[in-house]
Amino acid sequence: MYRDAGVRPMAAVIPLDALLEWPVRSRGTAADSEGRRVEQPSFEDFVVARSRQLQRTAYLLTRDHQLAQDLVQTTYAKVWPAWTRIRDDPEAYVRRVMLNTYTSWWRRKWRGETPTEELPDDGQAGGQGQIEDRAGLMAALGRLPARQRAVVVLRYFDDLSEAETARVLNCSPGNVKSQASRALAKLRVDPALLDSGRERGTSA
Amino acid sequence: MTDTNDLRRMLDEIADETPELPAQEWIAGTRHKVRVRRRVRWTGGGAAAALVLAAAASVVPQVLDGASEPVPPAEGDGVFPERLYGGELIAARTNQTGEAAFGWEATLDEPTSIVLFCQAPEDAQSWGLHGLSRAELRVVLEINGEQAKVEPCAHLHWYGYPPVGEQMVLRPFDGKTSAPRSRARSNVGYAGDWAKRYGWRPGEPLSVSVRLERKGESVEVPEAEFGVAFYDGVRLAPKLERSGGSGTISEPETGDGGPGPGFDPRP
Repeated sequence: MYRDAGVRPMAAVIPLDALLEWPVRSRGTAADSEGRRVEQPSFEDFVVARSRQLQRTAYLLTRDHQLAQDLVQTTYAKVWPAWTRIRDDPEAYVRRVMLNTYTSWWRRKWRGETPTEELPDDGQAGGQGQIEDRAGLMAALGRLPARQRAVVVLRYFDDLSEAETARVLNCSPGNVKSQASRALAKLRVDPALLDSGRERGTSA
Repeated sequence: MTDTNDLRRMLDEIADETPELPAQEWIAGTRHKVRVRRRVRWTGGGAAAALVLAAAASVVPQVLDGASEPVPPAEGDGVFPERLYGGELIAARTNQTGEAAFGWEATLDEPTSIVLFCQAPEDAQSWGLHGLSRAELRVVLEINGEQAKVEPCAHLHWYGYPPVGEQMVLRPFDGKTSAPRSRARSNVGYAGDWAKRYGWRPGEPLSVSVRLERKGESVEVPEAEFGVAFYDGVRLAPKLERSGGSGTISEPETGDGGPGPGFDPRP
């Protein structure tokens, strides 16, 4: 699986347009699902253009900066050897691998992840109420089952449609809809979010 | 949080806390991880070599009438030899301790053979499943949601190669469902069939799940070890000939290289 022949050299020059916009159609070709040749961005282009967003998604899933980096890095290590053979939409493929990796980590509980009521003070600017909101939401996300958390992040952070989310999670759009509905219902009554909302209402 | 707009805004604010890494760090990190994964595979290969030696030891005594020193199976994915019948191990996954089933997404871009492996304790009572004999226990492989293969479990202290009877071989998909060159390899599946059956093409992720079942129902068997491996470059399709409850791997029919001497997998 990890053959040198399938690994592209790292010393590639990154085109400027890759920094500006995605999708980048700069190098390589691959066949789409119907066998047509389509231009494919290089792995380096993809990393430049999409790492930030993938890392943000990973952080919402894992609620830990180090884990988020590790999740993205592990995903890249999985997709890199097969990069030239990825067809159609590389981003959807990478997201799918990342979500599968996240789910397998969660299943195995390798990371000993536990929901927490409080996040460490990160020194970010922002009103006290906003910080409490964010901390409350992160705690509430931590209490959602992994699948529901993934649906919330993909639907309401990455703005994927139900169909796109279903493709990433390898399930039906109906399942996405019901998972999202359940997740939102849980978030609405989560004590952490109710408390932060109540406190804000009191102080306002 | 009152509506989904609030949720979107808050998620965005939280995500903004993520520190940004330069692209070159990601790429360097990816190279490092790929190197580590290769090294892990090589380490696993060392354990697999011990397993191969153990298998060889189970053959040599039949010839030399000498004593063999059994070597316990390696942990984790090490149960699969790095090389098998001329093929190279490209991906493998076994259950974690106590795991009754597992799902896995394998990305394959080479012609591939599948080897399924299962060992279970002899004593059914030790599983807490009275009335269940090991003979009823099967390991089931599903690919992209389709049942692909079912194999009986060997006993827990079985040494040697995993069973390779009825192996399935994927070949590069050329868009045609061409007939095999030789029907002598009747236990070889061809890429055209596979592509149709599982909607798979080389390079695409293959959704793999493995579980244990008894009479068609999933069961949990503590201490059972099972897994699946993908090999490429397997040149032969050795058959597992079953007679009188024992199995032997037959000699190759085509003589174009292969597994070496046959052996009895049950000491």
